[in-house]
Amino acid sequence: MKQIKKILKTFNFDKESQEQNDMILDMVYDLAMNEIIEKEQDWDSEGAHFDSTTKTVSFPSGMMELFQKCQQNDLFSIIVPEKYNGFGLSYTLWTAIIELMSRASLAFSMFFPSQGLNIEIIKNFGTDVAREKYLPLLGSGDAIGSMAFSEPNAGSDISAVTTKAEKEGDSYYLTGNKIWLSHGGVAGTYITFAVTDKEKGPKGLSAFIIDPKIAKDGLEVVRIEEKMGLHGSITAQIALDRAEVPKENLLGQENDGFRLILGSLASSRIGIAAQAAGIAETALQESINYSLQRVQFGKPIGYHQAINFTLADMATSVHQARLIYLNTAHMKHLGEDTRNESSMAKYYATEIAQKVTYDAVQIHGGYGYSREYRVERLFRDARVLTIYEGTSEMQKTIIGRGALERAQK
Amino acid sequence: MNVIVFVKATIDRNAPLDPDEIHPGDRDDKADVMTNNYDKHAIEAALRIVEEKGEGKVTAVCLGSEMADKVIKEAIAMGCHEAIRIDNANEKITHFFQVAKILAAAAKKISNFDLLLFGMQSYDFGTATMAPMVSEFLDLPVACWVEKITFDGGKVKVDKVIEGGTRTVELEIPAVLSIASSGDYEEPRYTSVRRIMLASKTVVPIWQVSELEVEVPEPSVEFEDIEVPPARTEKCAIIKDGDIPDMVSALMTKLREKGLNIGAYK
Repeated sequence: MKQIKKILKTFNFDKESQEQNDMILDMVYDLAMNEIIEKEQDWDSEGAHFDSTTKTVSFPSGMMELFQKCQQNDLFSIIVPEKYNGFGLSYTLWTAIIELMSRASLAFSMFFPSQGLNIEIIKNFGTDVAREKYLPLLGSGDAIGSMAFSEPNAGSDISAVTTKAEKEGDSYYLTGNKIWLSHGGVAGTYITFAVTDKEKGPKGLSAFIIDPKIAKDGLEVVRIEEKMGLHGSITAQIALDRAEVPKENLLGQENDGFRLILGSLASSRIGIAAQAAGIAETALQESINYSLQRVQFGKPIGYHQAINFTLADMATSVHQARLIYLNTAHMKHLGEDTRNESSMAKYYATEIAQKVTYDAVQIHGGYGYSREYRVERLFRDARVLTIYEGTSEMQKTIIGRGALERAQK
Repeated sequence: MNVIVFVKATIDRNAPLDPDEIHPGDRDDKADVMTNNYDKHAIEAALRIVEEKGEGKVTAVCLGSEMADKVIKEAIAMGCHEAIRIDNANEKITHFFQVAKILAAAAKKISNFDLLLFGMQSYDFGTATMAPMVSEFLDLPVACWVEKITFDGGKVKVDKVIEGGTRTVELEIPAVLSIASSGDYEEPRYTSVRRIMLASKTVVPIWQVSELEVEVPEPSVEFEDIEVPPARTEKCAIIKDGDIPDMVSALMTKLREKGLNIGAYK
């Protein structure tokens, strides 16, 4: 925690903001480290639930209660503008909160990046009606935000979506399948995009907010995924069958959805980098504690150079991951274009999380392979980080393209 | 119903300990200071009493240096309506007795109160003496380690923890209570972003001890030094051979060698 505060001190926050940041981080730390972390193992073994007869999904037990505590503590309204009943605080603080939540449970921390992206997109591209309606709901947490981008045949190439939107009167009607939806089935808003002009390829895509209360039976959960890790988080597949979306829920201009979504993903990637730093920090802490307790050849293994140097590498990596996400978040807070840096942060921090969680299992030896120990879970959970919100390969594509552009200027 | 709740700034449990430091809490880094966690239960009790009564206010009072501002702001961020810091920078306060005198004088100065609440003890010294001492100085009834509070006319009825159970006692208002970390107030509320924003904009009044018209007595006890106990280097002696009388004899001999008083054993 001190490490985060130390880095934040180097940014240009005034005294009042600094005090607010510190107090908010203290509160989040207490919540994460006293309560959320206690449940993490149970959530992993219980997993999310899907009732195939009623087509309803639910979180593992106890998760909603802690979500409600986050609501009571106004955590989701941090980046909502004051005009919409939020606090308009910095994106830097927001990502630091994501790190703390991810230290306790990556599954639980999933609420934050997706809530953040929903808020961000609606704030930037929503109509006035949509802003008035959804920003206060997302800020209070009464609506959980979800993103419905991927389709069975449109993953990294999200321009290949086939879900179509047909305009009739004052509404659009969406039909198609969406996969990998975090919180699919329990969300209050889904950001998605669909074809509005199939002749134009990526330039014929439009972005929408699906409100399940309006779409009603047009939105149905088909199944939830059984995953390698992140068991506590819901990952759903949904089917849209003429799901109604009123024209006020169109984001940006018609046929401008692709550009708009791609631009927005840059900011949520910083949040994923923060998640990576959080999970790596916990892996490091667990390894430090274990290496001080475990005695082999007459001394704690932490004092054997082989382990000690591994810890040194892990600690350095975690610090680097934290620096890169906080720095990028702060750039964004200052209004800079961070498309390249966000991809760098996401790529770098999530790859580091693989290495650090791997080393943590290694330091724990046989115990690290056992479900009794937290590092086994961290290793499984961390694996998804280099995949979702754009694979490492896609990040490198963006970074590489950016590098070439820079050379030309 | 007006409630005063006293909070203490203690060293953060995660902060490194310094054996040269006789008076923990006097740190120059705010990050090393935290609200005494037992006091949070008292704040929770105070807030709930006022919320249930639907009238009155909670005033948090803290004796401490500038570092304690963090603690007093946290009290506001939890929901306290007002807060006062009593500055200790110009005083040589080294003993609980002196602190109790000052806190009692502060309560007298605020004057308009029905209950004075304390945490059951502090996280650092843990003497649990503040509530009884203050009650004595103000000549008010006191109940310690209170788990449950109800009101009956002009009286307050409380369940206090005793060994093996609880005892219900009735006290005249105004009264002094120390709140247990178990029972009704076991889970103190968190701060919230909304309250934190409010707290950061609140200017907390600072009182000087000299304004309280209290004579701070010379301490009856002084701490000269605090030492880290020496690391134990001795190994376990395992006695496993021989029949039982021999083993007992060997054990007692070992204990005597270590200088332990083993009474009449020969």
